[in-house]
Amino acid sequence: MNDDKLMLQAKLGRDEAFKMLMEKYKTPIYSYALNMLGDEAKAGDVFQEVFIKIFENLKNYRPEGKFKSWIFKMASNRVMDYFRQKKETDFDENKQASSDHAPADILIKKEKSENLKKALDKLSATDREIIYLKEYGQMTFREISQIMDMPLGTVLAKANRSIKKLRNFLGAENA
Amino acid sequence: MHNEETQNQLLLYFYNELDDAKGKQLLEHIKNCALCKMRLEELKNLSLFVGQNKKSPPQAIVNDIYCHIRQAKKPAYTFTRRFYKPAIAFAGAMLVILVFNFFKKPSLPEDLWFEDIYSRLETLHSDISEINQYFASSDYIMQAKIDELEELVGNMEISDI
Repeated sequence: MNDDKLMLQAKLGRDEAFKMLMEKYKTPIYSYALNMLGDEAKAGDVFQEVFIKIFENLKNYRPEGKFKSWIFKMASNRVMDYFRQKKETDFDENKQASSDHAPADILIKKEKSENLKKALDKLSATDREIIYLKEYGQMTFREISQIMDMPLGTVLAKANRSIKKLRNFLGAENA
Repeated sequence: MHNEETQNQLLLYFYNELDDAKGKQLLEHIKNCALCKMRLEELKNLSLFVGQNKKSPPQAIVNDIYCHIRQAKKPAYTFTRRFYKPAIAFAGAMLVILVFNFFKKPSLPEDLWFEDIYSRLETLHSDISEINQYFASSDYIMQAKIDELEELVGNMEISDI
């Protein structure tokens, strides 16, 4: 049963349908929030807020085949709220060690995942969001562009820039 | 060929979002491009790493949501439970009334005729009562006259007669 059908069932008061939706999306949403915020308690809060909001908005849901985008948009908004509360600023690109000539195979050679994790954490919230929406949400770049209210080209450029930044971070650490 | 467009195409290709024609073209390029092969390898490693960091939420959090849903539904459930039977009974009664009215025999001419007859009989009965009263009063007057005559006759002498 697809997401829209489950939502319609949940709308009719069938808790089982809502539970099925939650089972399907609990790991992607929680993983996304956890990796974005780096805090289990906050990720748990985002997760709860998202699903409670879905439940409270069941009546208003219109089945247009965009449930996944809708749920990740909600999660994204809540995550951004946390960033705003924290007054966390995006990574200052000017301070990055930028080198177009960094070894191309640095990521391949990197075996220590902690370094990659650290490098990911150094990315701006927006840059990380694209990667996590892609990996945890299994969304297309077009869907991501809709969630983030950005043109597709901008999303792709940001994704490429993030990969370049990761390469540079890891290159700088290796050096 | 390593411009921004190629980088974008590599990303789309890696995630199966590039159309077939462009995909074939890019694949031809990748075969002869060590740098693009490495970029694809980077994407693969990044995807694997991020994928490994998937984590499910603690069950307690999930249970909290279920609990919240149950709480949110509770008032509606109590209301339904309280008024369920009376509502059904009321609806049933209304249905019976509706059905009765629907199938009720309409007034026939015979019924109207009988109604007319009853009305006429009542009028007749009333008229008879009036006649009886008249006769009753007539009897009284007649009796008074007879009494008066008897009294006159009683006072008369035989010779007078």
